[in-house]
Amino acid sequence: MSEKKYFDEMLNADGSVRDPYRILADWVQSQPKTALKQLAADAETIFRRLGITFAVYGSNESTERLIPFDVIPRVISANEWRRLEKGIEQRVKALNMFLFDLYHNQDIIRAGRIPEKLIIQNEAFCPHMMGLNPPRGIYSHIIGVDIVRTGPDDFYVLEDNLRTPSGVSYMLEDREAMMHLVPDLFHKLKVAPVETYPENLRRTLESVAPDSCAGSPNIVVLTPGIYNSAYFEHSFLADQMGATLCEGHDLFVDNGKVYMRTTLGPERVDVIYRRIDDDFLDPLTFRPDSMLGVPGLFDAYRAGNVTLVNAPGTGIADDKAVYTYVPQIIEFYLGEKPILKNVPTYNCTNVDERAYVLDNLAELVVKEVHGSGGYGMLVGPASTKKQRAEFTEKIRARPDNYIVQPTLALSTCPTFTNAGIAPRHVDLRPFVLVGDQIRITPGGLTRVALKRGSLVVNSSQGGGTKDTWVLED
Amino acid sequence: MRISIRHELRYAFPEDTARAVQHVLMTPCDTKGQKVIEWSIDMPGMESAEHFTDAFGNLAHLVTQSRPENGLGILVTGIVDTSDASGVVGRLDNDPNIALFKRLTGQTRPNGNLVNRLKAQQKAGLGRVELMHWLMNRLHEAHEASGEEDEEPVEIVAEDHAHVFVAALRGIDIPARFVTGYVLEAQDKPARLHAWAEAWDDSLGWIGFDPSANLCPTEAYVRLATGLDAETSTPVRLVPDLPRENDDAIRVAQVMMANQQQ
Repeated sequence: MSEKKYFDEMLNADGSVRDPYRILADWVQSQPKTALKQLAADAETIFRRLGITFAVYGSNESTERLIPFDVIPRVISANEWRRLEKGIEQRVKALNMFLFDLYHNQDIIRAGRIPEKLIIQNEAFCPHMMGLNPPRGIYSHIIGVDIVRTGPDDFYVLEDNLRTPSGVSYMLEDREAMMHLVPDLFHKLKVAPVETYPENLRRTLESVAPDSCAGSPNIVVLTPGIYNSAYFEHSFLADQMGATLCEGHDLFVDNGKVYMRTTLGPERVDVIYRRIDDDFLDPLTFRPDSMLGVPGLFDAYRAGNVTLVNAPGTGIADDKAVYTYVPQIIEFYLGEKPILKNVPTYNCTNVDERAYVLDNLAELVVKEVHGSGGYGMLVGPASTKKQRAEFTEKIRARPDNYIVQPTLALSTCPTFTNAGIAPRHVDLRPFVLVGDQIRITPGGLTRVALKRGSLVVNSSQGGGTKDTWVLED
Repeated sequence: MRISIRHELRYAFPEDTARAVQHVLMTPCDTKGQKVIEWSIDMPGMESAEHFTDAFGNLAHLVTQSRPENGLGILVTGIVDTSDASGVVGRLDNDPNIALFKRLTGQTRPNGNLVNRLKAQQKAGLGRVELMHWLMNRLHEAHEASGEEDEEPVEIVAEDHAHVFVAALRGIDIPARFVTGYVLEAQDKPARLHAWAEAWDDSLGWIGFDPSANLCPTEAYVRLATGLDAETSTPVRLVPDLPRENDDAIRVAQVMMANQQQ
C-alpha cells in the first residue's frame, strides 16, 4: 500500500503523545513485553470462561470461534465524545422522523427531497407498516452507528444499522475483562461506565410498552435460535436484563394478543426485543415459509397489543442507497446542518460517476447495496487485478446493486501484536437506545483490523475488538 | 342489479395440527359501483376473530382454531347491489397512500417491450385513461392471437392478465392494483372467483379493467379485495401453509350460486 499518512489516535506526527492518551501511554511504556503477553493470555482465559464466541458463515473449520481481543484500550476524550454524542443523537432523531414520515404522509417525497422510486421500490420498505403508529412514534429503538475517524476532528458515519445491530455483548464483556485485567488503570483514569447498558435497555423497552399495558410490562427477547451467529448475545442480553429468551414456537397469538407458553400456562407478552429479520417475523403477513416467526404477530402489533423492537421496516432508513440522503434528511426534519459527516458515495447508475469508478477501482471501496458483514465487498487498495476485473463486470451488469466510496484513511490505535505494540486501523460502533429518552452508552465497540495495513475490521474477516474508554471530565 | 353470493371453501389440515391461523380477506366494501346489503363469513373461530384494515385498505379477519379436527370449512354468503359505473370505483375510505401501488413485486415484473410501447403511445398524445384502455385491448389481442384459450383454467388466465396489466402501468409510474372478486356469468355457466385490475386516475380515482374479458367491470362484478398482486390480495392465507399445488392436501370446494333477484 502507498505511504499514506493515517491519523494515529495516540501519537502526534512529531511522536509526542496526544492528551487523552497520556496516562495510558505511560502505563504501556512501563509494562515489560512479557507483562503484556501475560495480559493477553489472561484475557483469552477470561473469554474462554465467559464463553463468548461467534459463528463464521462460509468457513468449514470450527464454526464457533473466539473473537480476538486486544488488551490495549482505545481512549476518547470527554470533549471528543460530547461531539460524537450530539452528532449521533441528531442522526437517530432525524432517521426516526424520516421513518414516521415514510410510513405516513411521505412529505419528504412530496417535497422532492428524495426520489419516490428509491423508497417505494426498495426491498427494505415495508408496505404493511403504512399508517401504523408505534408507541411514542419510535421505529428504531436499538441502533449501532458505525463511525470511523480520519483526523483529530474528522468523524464519518459509515452505516446507521437501524435493524437489529449486534455487538453490544462484546462491548460489555470487553469492559468486564479489562476491569479484571488492569484494575489499577481504572483508578488512574476516570472511565465512563458502560455496564449500565442492560439496565438502560430494559428501561427503554419498558418505556415503549403498548398504551394498553397496565403495570410492569413483560419483556421477551425473540431469537432465531442457537444456529444464529449472535445467539450468544441474545441469551446474554436476556439474562442481563432479566427477560425471557424465547423462540417463535414459544409464542402464540390469541384474540390479537401475544402469549408465551410457560409451565404455569400462557403468559401475556407486552414488548418483544426481536432479533429475527422482518421477513421471518410472521408467516401470515411476511414470508409464508418462515418457521422462526409467530403467526398473527404482526396483527397483534398493528392492534397495539404488543410492541416490536425494532419496528418492522426500519431497514429503509439504513439502506445503502438511502444513506447518501441522510444529510438532506437531517436538514429536512430538524432544520440543522449534520454534525457528523457522511462518506462521499458514488452512484454507479450515473454514467459519469460509473466511468470514474471503473477507472479508479484500485483506490475505491465497493459495497453491495444489500450486503453486510464485509461480505461481497471490494477494498480497492488491497485487491488483486483479477478481483477488480470481476467487480468491473459486476458493476456493469447491475450498477444499481453497488455503492462505491473512497478508501477512508481509518485512524489507528496502538495494538499489541506479535511484533510488539503497533498501530492498527479501527472503527467504532456506539450503541444507542431510543425510548422515553435517547441514551447513548459512552464509547461502544471498537473493532480493530489485526492484520498489518488491513482496513477491514469485521470479525468475519479477521478483525478483533478492544475496550473503548471515554474519559470523564 | 342485486347479486347473491354463496361461496364455500374447504381446507384439510394435516393430522395433529395443534393450531391453525388464517387471514381472511373476504369482506367487500361499498364503492361507486356496489353497495353491500348483507354479508356474513361463517367459519370456526369467527366469533372471537380480530378484524382490521390491512395495508391495502381491505377489511381483514384474523381467525384462529385450536385442534381443527375435521379440517376447516368457510361459508361466505351475502347480497350486493351493483350498478354499472363504467368501471369507475372512485376513491375509497380505507385507501392507503396511492403511491404504494407503484411498488413492483415478484408477481408484477413489468415487461420491457410492453412498457416501451406504452411510453410511445404516451408520447403520441394518448391520455391517461385512454392509455389504460389501449393496454387492455393490446393484452386481449395478444391473448387471442396466441390461441391458448383452452389450455389453462380460466382463473389462471385472469390472474396472469391482471398481473401483466398492473405491472406494465407501474412500469410507466401509474399506480395500479390487483383485484379479486366475483363475476356473474351466463345462466348456464357457474360463477367463479375472478381476478382483474384497477388503475389510478387523479380525477376519477380507481378505475377497474378486466383484461381477460377486455372490458371495464360492469354490474355483473362484485369486488372483494385488493392488493399489490395475487399474493397480497388472496382471500384466505393460512398457517400451516398448505401446499396448494398438491390436490390431496388441499380441498377447496366452491359452491356458488349467483342469481339476479331484481
